[in-house]
Amino acid sequence: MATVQLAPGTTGTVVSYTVIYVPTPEFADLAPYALAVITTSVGERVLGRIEGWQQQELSIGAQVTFDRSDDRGPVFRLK
Amino acid sequence: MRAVTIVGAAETKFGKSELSYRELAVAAAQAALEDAGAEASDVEALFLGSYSPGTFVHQEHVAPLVAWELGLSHVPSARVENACASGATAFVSGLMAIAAGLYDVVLVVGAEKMTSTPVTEATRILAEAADWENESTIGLTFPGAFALMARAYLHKYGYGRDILDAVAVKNHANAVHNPYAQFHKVITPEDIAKSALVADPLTLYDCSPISDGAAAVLLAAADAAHNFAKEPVRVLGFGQASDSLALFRRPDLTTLAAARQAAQRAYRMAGVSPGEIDLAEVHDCFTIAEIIATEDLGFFEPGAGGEAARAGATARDGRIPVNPSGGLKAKGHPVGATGVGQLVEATFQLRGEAGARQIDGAELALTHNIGGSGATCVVTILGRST
Repeated sequence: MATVQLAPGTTGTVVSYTVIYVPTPEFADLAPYALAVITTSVGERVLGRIEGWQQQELSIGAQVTFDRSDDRGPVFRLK
Repeated sequence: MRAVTIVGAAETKFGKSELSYRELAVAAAQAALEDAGAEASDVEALFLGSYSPGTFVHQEHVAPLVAWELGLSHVPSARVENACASGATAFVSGLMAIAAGLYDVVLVVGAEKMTSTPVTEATRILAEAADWENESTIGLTFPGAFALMARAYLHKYGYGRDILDAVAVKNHANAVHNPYAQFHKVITPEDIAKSALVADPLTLYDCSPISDGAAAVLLAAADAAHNFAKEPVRVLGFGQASDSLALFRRPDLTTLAAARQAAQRAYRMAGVSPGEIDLAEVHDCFTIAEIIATEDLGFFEPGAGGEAARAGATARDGRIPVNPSGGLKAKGHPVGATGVGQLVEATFQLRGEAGARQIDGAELALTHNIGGSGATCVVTILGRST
């Protein structure tokens, strides 16, 4: 997997998002999970998971903060 | 460039089939030869569009397999793979070979056998046509990619999901009149509202099904078309274009740049404008994809495709009939067969053989076949024999 280099605390804006209910077998344990296209504050486009979408409303234009990268890519949290 | 025609066309019924991969391919190919009044010995080369027979049915090296089963005697054969645009790309390969003067008669087949694979496994096989390192390993599925486009489109132009419902309802209604379609069942917005979410906002009824099927067209140089039984359909123009496999790397999620490029090239080669097209078979792998396609092809301005779908402008009696066959949504989507199947439907329409779904007086037809989330697009414009 290509690793995305993001500094801790990098912020970004949600360009679009979805919640995946029918995953590939490799992601079955995680479903449903939210994915978003994000433009970071330095202007980079990334695809990453969003945590906390069940508690807070996910929307286009929502602000997110980079939390960590795991073996399934970058993870952001809603601000 | 030498002019090229379609002199034979046929397809199997799409859906869950008892036939094996090779039996499907052979059935469609033999029916296309029969349609043309041709013999196997007339065929000088075979191009076979297929996405992933190795993973779906554990069979690679499928082109010589099908050539041998058909009794084509030692002709050159090759499989062409461009994800869900494998079929149209195989057609382009055959077209180029005739246009270049290498051959006079080429058989193009598209085939896929998908239903023997469990749904989650099929979802992963299809995800291999996305950017594996940057999308699939992050959890993006194909419904997910088109859900990202749908969400962006609905937000940008202020629509609700009723525009998606309109596409699904129309295409299911059209497929009722297509004996080759997987589904013969009218659906309502209430059915869609009750169906399970696949990738929010897309539900099961926004998605094309997993299908088995095959389709075939026999191509001939225009100056050799008189050797065959049916009235030839003229290939007036085609365009093919590429883009980033990864959706998130494209600047605009509400249009497919490859489709716009491919369409411009096809219109320029054919010398026709979008307003002259009588019907279009477009790649509605998901409902949102049909709306975006009608804008990328120039039928409607950006943002107007949603309203056009809702207002019935793409119905069989609308301004520009889109997917009279039922489309991928309801005719079915055996990946490698789909692009060839669109050409088969366009051929039937231009020969006046489309039965209850016939668009009266159709003279110009367009097909639009995309691979992945739009990293490949092939647009073809066909004309009735004059």
